[in-house]
Amino acid sequence: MQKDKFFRDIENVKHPNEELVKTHCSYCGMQCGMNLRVDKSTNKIIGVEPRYDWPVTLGKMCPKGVTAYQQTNHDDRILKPLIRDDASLKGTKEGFREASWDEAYDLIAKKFGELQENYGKDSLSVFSGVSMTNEKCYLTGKFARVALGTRYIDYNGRFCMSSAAGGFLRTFGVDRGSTLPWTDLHETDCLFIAGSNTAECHPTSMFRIWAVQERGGYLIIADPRETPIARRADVHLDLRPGTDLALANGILNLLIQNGYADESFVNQHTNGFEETKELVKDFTPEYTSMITGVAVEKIEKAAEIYGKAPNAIVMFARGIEQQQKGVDNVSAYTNMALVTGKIGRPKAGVATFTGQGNGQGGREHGQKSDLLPGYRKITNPEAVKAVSKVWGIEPEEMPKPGVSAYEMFELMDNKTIRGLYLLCSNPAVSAPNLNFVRGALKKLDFMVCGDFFLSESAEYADVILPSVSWSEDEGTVTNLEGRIIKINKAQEPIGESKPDWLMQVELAERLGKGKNFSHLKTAKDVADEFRLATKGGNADYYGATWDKIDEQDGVFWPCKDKDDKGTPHMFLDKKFYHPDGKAKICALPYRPPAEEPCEKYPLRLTTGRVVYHYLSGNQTRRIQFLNDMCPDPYVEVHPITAAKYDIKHDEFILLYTRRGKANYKVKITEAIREDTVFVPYHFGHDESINLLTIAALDPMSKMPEFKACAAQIDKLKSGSVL
Amino acid sequence: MTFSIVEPKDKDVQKRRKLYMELENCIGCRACLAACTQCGGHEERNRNYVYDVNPLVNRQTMPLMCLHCVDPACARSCPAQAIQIHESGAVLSAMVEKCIGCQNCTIACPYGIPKFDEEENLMYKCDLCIDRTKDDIPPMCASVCPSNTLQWLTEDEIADKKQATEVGNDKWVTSMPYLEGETHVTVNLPGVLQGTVKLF
Amino acid sequence: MEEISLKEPMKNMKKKTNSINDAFASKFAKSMFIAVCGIVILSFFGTRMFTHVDWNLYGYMVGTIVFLGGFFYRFIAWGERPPTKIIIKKGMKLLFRKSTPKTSVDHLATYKFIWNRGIYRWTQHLLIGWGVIISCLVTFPLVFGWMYFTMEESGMYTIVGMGMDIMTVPADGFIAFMSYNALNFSAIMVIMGVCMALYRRLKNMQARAEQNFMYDFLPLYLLIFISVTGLALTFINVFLHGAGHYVMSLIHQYSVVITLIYLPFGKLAHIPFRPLSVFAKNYREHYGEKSMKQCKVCENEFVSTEQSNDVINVLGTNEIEFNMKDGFNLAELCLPCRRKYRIARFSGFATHEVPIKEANQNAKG
Repeated sequence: MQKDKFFRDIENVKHPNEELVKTHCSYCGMQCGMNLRVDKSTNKIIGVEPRYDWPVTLGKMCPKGVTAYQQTNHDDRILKPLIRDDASLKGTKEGFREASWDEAYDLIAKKFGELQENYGKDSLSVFSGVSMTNEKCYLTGKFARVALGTRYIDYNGRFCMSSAAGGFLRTFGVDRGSTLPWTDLHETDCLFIAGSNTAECHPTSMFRIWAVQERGGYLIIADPRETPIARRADVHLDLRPGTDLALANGILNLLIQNGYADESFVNQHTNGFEETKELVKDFTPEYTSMITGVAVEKIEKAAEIYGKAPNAIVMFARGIEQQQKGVDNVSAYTNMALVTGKIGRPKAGVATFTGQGNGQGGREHGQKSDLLPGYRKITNPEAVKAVSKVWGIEPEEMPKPGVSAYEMFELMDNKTIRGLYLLCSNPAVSAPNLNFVRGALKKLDFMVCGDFFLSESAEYADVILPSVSWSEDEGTVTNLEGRIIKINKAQEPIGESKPDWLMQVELAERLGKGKNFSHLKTAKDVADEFRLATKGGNADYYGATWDKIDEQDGVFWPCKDKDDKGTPHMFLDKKFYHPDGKAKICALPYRPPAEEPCEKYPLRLTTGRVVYHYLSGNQTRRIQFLNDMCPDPYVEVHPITAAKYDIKHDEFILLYTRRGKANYKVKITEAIREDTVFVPYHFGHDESINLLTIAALDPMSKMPEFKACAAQIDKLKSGSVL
Repeated sequence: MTFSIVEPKDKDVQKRRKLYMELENCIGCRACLAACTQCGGHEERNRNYVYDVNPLVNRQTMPLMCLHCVDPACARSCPAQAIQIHESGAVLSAMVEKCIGCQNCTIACPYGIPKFDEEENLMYKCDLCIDRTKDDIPPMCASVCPSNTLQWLTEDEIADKKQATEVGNDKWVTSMPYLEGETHVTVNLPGVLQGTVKLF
Repeated sequence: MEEISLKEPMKNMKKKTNSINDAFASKFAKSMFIAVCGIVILSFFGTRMFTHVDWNLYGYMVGTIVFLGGFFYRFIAWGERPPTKIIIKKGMKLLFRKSTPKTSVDHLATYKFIWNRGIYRWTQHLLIGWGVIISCLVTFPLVFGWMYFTMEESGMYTIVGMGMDIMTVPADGFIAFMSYNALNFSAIMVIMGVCMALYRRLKNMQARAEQNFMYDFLPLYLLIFISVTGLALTFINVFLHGAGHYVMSLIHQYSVVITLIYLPFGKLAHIPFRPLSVFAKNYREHYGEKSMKQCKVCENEFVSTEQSNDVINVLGTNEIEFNMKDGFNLAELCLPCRRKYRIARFSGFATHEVPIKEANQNAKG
């Protein structure tokens, strides 16, 4: 086979005494293909080699991907279980001692047992993440509901993808992040991208995006900042943070007014057009411009280009989703595709840039408070019955729905939740309103944390279980296209670290649930049970075997059986997943952000990523190259605003909101609105911008409004850094 | 437009590929710097650069790396003849046993590319990942570049690019007047898209 | 690999001559004449008027003379290149700087800069380097009779250097032991060092990429061949009571002669040329103390004025000129400003004039 030949024959790619293990990056939803270079004599990962034959990214990687391999054998890795006996040291790195797995498991079983005996089953909780394989995500849900028997399980996708999920479910009846494969992107004629700093957050999409322009297509970007992608856009809609819904309604109005609506498509395949048309009528370009701050001509131009384009793709990301109307924003932008009929065919559709590596797969399989594997509601008796059978429990034993991620911290604060098993997440940096969240973590009676680095959240734990990095275990991940791909094991776990699924199996045995877990001896065993558990759901993975993934370069779900090749393009038959087969065009009245600027807090604060770091930075801040490139957070300020506050480039200032304050170095740039400041969110402790962000939750997705709140700057007297 | 999967060419194929830079595409991610450190022979030190064009104003960035001059000033100025030119045209790093540490090359290079390690008394620079490119495998920077700013193309492909982007605005450049001499690397300046014919 | 062809600098062609130089057809002839005369005169005294010449070693003599020919040929051709010429000329002038002894020891004896490149490489280089130096220091005085031993009847050895009795030591004493076996020790050092070098050449990717057999491996094989045959001589003498000694000594002698002849033309040429790095260091230090060049853009000092001018001149002799319309030569900009200036040329915006430090360009992987 061509691709095998490539690596086998070229000595300079495949160095002697080395093995190339094909896998994918550990970080974002792009899941760029890569080969890890493994020294055969030491069985250690020693480097990375581009995976030129991976069809989505063709060997391309961002700086995070290039250096990702350095996590595996990093000096900071936790090699043994750690126990802290002195609870007064919570919130610090101090007081941990190394312990055996037996001691750690015994302690956890004892403490969890005591808590559940005294305060009921639901006094325990599980907070998980989606930067791990589908198998682990699946088993975490099962562990919470079967081994712990608690209703309180949720995950960090609530801070990431849940608005996109909510929006797609409402509009399409199904939530697959992208209706088409990424290999279509460069062939479309117009990309409308809202709230995505693609060049920094999903860099390996960029060569396809630029190719659209190179071919003569158009690029429309809606973003408060002139990000590297916005800089080259044909139209840059530089809106105020938190006003996306108005912009989407305004453009939809223009599309309808100017006759770009595809009436036959709308009539045959959608509901809700008339009332939406009625509602958006008010969003004239002038009115939209007044709310969003975007010039009328730009709005008109954007609508015209999108309307005229033979094929167009609407894309969005956290910029529109991390708002207290994130779900509405998603539905509103999706309306554009539905009204113009630019969906359900190749080169046209809707896609969200999934943030976390397995943000797509991880949200489908039962880590969410109200979901079971296969993207089925826990309130649906049929689903409960099907999953209970796979899990070997009675349907009555299935816990009820829990609460969302941020709400769990509220329950910790009021002592409803007393114990926590945290894994694959770092809410002490990534949750909003951190002063409250960190306080809640401190109040816990007992906390277990599974991680491979000592994260800021692990500092609140009583027991830390050393898990493995992505390269020391195998399993599947669903990338931002909805393509199920395979992560391969390149190295044996270092020290005494174990994959999370194995910890959960062993812990379940201690908790007396061995009969439901003990048969899971390998990652493959988990995978087989997992596929079975998804059978019949919307996100049906039953046919996506590891062999098929390998043969086909990934499998797009749904993939129902062994002959099913998967579904790269959704809705080709124009059948949506609502019972009547129609998509829903939603009429969405505009709501302003929860906190509008006022006299005391006149600036809008928005947050986001830089290209060198990933999420809470727990991994990337430890990688020398990445940390050298971006060691500290900063606040981006427009020169006019800076002049108003008399602050200069590289000067430290105090930034504060109603909830918190922090010191940041000023970065002067005209690439931001005058009324807006921006701080990247990858930094811990006193540097976390989430000390300042607001926990205003979207009513449907429970997504906090990270992207817009009111803030103020104080110039520091020299030397008075916080 | 299609993106072809990079395949190694047979050794006897005369048409070697060359590094092609399309500056308009750069997104400033510095993956090229990170990848440079990963090249087998680079001892974890990067040899290329990415600059903010106007840091106080916008996010425009551009990579800068050795352009592999046909008549390299660095080699001309080297008293020890330590800088060799590979048959592919790549201007190599100083040979360790020959470099006497005078740093003439850093002063001579019109683009400021060679780096000097005081401790090791040794100059090092981009060698176009010679361990890869001598077999026509793309150099690390062009392999990973997510924005296609750096590409590894045949003469024909570069000619096609030239045809597609030559818009009479003097922005298609192979060397002069924006460079100081003929180079083996082809540079395409920002502004090339101005002349693109829009689809509709 | 091709080396850059040399363009003869025109203005150096007509040179003032003086009477001594007129006596020779070329610089090469002069150098050879002086060197051979020097050796003959030294040998004349060393061997007490040629009474103590070991004619068994004549092959080495011939080899040395041929080596000198090659060495001068190479060195002179090399020294004529404009940049080399400057370093040699100014280096000679600065030879007696106070820091010269320390720099020489660092560069030529302890190889401190190689230590900084890695302990493995340092060890390997130290073993080979000092192995070869010790061998030369023993072999050539013996060959030309600058040093020899005489055996007294009392069981004492006298070491004679330059015709004078240096010391008399017991034949079974420590110093005598070290003297007889110096070449054995040096051979072992070279073999160990070469093995380390060969191992590195098989493993290191940079080395693998750039090395070729003739340039990188041949000298190593030659060194190891000399050392092994040398040790074999000792082995034959000690364990085989001299059986096959004649053949082996011939093989050894030929291997040395071939290496000597090859030395100026391959990788080993860096041995005689390496002292230039002391020149370079002196050159940078001296002129740096005298006057530093300020960057024409950011006004930071970055190189000596002398070197900046020298480089501009050297490039000028090769018809390379980097005078910009903006009123400076590129060699007058510090490296970050020169890079930013190029960005400015690409973008049309004066990046080099934005007073912000360049972003980190040196992150380690």
